[in-house]
Amino acid sequence: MPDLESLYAQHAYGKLSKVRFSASQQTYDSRFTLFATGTWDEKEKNALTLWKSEETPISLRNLVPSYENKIIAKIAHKGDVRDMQFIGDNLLLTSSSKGCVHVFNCVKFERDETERETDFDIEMHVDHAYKMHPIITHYLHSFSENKSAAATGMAIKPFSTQDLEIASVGEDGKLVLFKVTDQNHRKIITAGSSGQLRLFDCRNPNKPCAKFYDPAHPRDALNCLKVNSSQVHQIVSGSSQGFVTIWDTRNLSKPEKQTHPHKNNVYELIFHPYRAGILLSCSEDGTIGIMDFNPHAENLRHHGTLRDSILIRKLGSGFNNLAINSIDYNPVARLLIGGSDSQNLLSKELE
Amino acid sequence: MSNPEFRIPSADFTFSTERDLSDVDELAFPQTTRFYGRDNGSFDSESYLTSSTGDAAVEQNGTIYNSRKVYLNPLYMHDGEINWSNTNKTLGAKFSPNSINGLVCYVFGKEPKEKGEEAEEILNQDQQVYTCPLSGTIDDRRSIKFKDEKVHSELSTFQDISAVWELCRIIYIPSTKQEYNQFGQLSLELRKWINLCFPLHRLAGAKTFLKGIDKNDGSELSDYIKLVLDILDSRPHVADLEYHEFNLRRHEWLSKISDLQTKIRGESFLEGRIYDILMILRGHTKTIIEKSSSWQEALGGLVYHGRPTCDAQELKNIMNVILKSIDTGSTPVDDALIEFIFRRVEKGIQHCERIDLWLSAHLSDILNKLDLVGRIHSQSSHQRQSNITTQPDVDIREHYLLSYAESMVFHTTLWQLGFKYFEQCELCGYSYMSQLVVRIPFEDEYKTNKLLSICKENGLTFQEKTISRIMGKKYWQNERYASAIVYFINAGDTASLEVIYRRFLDNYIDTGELTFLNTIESIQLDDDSPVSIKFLSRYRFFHALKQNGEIQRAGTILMELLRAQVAPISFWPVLLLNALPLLQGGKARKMIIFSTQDTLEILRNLQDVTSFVYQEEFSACIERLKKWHTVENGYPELDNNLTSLRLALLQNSADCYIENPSSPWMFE
Repeated sequence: MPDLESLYAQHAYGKLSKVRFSASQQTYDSRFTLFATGTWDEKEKNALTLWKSEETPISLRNLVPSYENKIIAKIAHKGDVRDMQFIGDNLLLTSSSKGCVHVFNCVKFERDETERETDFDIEMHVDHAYKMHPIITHYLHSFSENKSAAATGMAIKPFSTQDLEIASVGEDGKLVLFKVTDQNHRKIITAGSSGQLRLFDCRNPNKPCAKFYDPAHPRDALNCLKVNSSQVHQIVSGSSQGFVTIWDTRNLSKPEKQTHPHKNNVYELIFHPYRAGILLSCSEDGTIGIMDFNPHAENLRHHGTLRDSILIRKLGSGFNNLAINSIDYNPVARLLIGGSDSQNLLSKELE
Repeated sequence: MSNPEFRIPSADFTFSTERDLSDVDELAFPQTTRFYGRDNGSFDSESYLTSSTGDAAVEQNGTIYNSRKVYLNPLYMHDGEINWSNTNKTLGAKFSPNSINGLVCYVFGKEPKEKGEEAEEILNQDQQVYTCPLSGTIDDRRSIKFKDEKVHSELSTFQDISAVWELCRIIYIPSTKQEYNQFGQLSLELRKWINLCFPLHRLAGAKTFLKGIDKNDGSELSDYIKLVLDILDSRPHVADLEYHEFNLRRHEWLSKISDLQTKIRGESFLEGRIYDILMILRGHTKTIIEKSSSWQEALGGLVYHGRPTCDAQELKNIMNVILKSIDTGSTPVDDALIEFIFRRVEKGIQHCERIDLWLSAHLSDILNKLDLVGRIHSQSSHQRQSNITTQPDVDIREHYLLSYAESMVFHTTLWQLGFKYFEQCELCGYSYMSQLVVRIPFEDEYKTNKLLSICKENGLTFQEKTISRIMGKKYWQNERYASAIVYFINAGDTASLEVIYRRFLDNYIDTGELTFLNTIESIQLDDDSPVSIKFLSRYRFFHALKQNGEIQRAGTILMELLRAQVAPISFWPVLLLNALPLLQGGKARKMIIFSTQDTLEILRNLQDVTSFVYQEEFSACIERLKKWHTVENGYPELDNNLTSLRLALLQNSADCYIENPSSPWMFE
């Protein structure tokens, strides 16, 4: 692909299914950013890894990327990591292929000389080491009493440790909500392999209050979904045929906009937190797509191809031929990270 | 062998002949990394002849090795339980353009961490990902005793891979960039290769040694030493000169050596050694072979000193001479290297298979792209004896790529890579993939999606359907009908869909509940969807309209369902009975729901199902309906003649006639 921009790849000790930046309140002068990666398909060796992305000294900038990602903690995870979210500074919530939701506490500790950290034979060569402790485990998804069902996704609202609402979906077809307070009249939207998007009102959970689909590709399975946090009526879905579709929940009869940045399954989507109209996607085809739905004339000079007035840039790495399963973007560190099946952590600085 | 502990005295010394004979004999000749010296192509007069671990200035400044290193970030932390070949080497196997000749192999193996105590120093090293050529740096660690035997053997495999890969690059892959003069390139690259891949112990500089033994006493020996030093300094450099100029200068230089040789009588031990040095510098075949400790060294020496302008084709002649005198050993790496020097590419690759499957696969791939390797006859010895030639030829590249891919495909984690390699095999890749993709275990949708993607990308339609069917069955067993139906639709498994369809209809006949049917709501259908599922969807829609009081539209849908003739006979009584509430509702609201034609059609169907032919199914269905279709539940009384329905239809027909007298009277 001639227009593929390069991503930096580094070994990540496992096939990554999820990558997530910490939700901590970061300031512009903070010199490092935390993020976590979770693995899948590693049999009994699946793990959660906590990383620190740190700015490199200015003197070295010509030689190496201007940031450095280091592992600072690692803990075993039962089953594949299917979804992952940070809550606040130090709580990490994961859902697993065993149908469980786990909460881990990530805490910093001053290293004691007598105590050598040897989890996974890893010695941490950083000033401040972290530890991850499992604190809560909920068994949420099962086909029957003895038969667990894999979790497939999770959502948290709001993004604070107060008054949390957590929704988890699984292969058992159940949407489990917990810690929802009565006065909330929130709506939940789901997407699935049937190709439908279904909107539920928490007050009437037995029946969706609306369902809609892409009439041009009615049976195209949907893999992922994201709500635009700055325009809550706007949602975007990614499909198994590589389509990215924007919807307006006020008009569900047809998609607002659609583009086809990938050849194959789209696994995750992100709205750029600051720049309206910019979406990031990752896919089975091993690339990350950056879509500008409202391209300005000056942007057209940059890399990318214009399709139906949507500017698409593609990122990839020569070290990665396999699927990119997850992406996340941190606007303060201006860092895009991706986790792939080639056991690589991919990263790039992005405005 | 030379003794690394042996130190050359810095002051004047004498030596006992008995002991030093053995040492110096070994030391004097080109078995040293230093002997082949530096990258600029000049003879390194500073560094041959003596052995010393003390004289390590050259070693420490690191300028000798030109290995390319990529710094790992974060540090590579070796986990004793992780198998290096599985976790690192294979994943990074890449071909990428490189600055020298357009090709390089990134093996992406990481050096293991073997010495925990020397933390700081080891850490720096452990950040490196080694690219080929890499042995120079690995050599620093050769003396390190590995705690882990497995790591040690992997490292040695890695060194072998590097040796073979580099030799093939030097002799087969044409250079696109002129790093050296074309005519001198082979000798310089070969020298580099030997230094990187087969280095020996540390040896002191030649000049240092010569100066050390020079007593400056005006003696004959002292004069000879000065002349040798002068010869070492005046060696013409192949890299700096034009071909003719170089030959001319080299001819003059060789004459200078000959002149000196005629003067040396070689009576004393030292004079004998100096004489030998001059023989080597002249490229004297016998001396170089005698003084070499391995065939590689002899090859390097003969090319560098004797034939500095030779090309790759001539190497086999030189090799033939060496093989007459030196036993090459029979390690896979020796065998492979010799075959490649003789340009017997296929045999070389066969030996590589014994080193590592990765090597044979990638080497055959790249040599195939250079048209150096094609197909071989795959005759077994038995076939040769019996002159059977029916076996088709084997494409070497595919054979080794397939072997490598096969070795990965059942790995619990790396199986996806195996398929990526199969995709590179045009002839047999498809059939391998089609056989193996259905044998990868999968438990949940996430992994299933990955497998289905592989099938889709490679046009494995049958396998895609098989996997979908297995997933459908799994969900069916777990009573997740919506997911099961989606997978069965994708699998085109109409038989299973039919069973689910019947089960849904049976459930309605037995309970009158729509719970099962509601699952159909979450399945998005299109024109190509199976008729049975479309029927369920429409039937559910009919009930939804009826519940919403939209009886006119419900009537239209019901007629559509009746006319489609899709429902099994056992379900017909239900469909017909569904007309009853619509007729009653229409009557109440003074609406005509069914036209005369519709009424006639319903009656005709009613007649059919109550006929003798379907008597049994009809009665059974009515019996099952009676469990819930009761007066207490608000339904009219059910009899075996469906009298209430017949009466309602008759009434409807009369209403139609009154409404529109021109319409045909039903008994006409």
